[in-house]
Amino acid sequence: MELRLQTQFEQCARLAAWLADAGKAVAGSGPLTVDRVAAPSPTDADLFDLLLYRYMRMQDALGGRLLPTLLEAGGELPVESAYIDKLNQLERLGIVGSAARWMELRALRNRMAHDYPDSDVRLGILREALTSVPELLATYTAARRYASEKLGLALAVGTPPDRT
Amino acid sequence: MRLTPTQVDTIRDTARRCFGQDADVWLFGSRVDDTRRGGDIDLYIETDLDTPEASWDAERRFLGALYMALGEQKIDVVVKRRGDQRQLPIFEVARAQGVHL
Repeated sequence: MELRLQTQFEQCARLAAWLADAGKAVAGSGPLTVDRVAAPSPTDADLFDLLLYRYMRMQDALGGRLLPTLLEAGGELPVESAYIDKLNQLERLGIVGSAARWMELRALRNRMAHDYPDSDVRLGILREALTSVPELLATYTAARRYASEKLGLALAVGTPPDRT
Repeated sequence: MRLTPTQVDTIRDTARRCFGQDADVWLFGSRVDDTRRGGDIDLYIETDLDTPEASWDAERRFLGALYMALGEQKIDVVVKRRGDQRQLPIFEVARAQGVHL
């Protein structure tokens, strides 16, 4: 269990740093407008894909793997508990800001995988991705804090990203 | 139509809460077909919300609330703002094939 957690934390540390970089790159590229999204330049297309890809990977690593492992390691809930029960417990522990908000971000992640014909929708997804990067990173940081304070896990590798 | 009455109520009530009381919801896609199994829940929504930002904000809250109520599953939403003159082909398909909830 401890090895699994260590491995997942190391992976999330890498993904968090990459996501923070992608967020900074998009934020620094100028305002997101419907024109940029409707007919992106090759550079913009790469940039947008990078943000969405890294966002999805971070969401999956965090929500799909690390957080459930963390609850299991902490003995917080029976392993077979429903996802929503796990989420409510994560909210009580202060690891996710709110269960409802986390579900919004899950829905956002799932929408990233589609190619919507409506450029307003694509713009909405990109903007929401950008504004919620700090929330994802904060969840990761809170998970680290829980692991070290409550589980006594020594997290030698990877530092919490403070680059955003 | 392959949704339970409770699911229909949840979807309609949540849509009105997020998109306004005048919002209309149609189910379209594979869930309309009783002979098929599983599949995404495809929803088409018409709303009086008049800006892309307001519509996006409503979509975000709508999907989050449905995930909370129904569990995370494949739900796809197409939103038509009634004041928006654009007619995407998907709007017509959804209305023609869809079931009004």
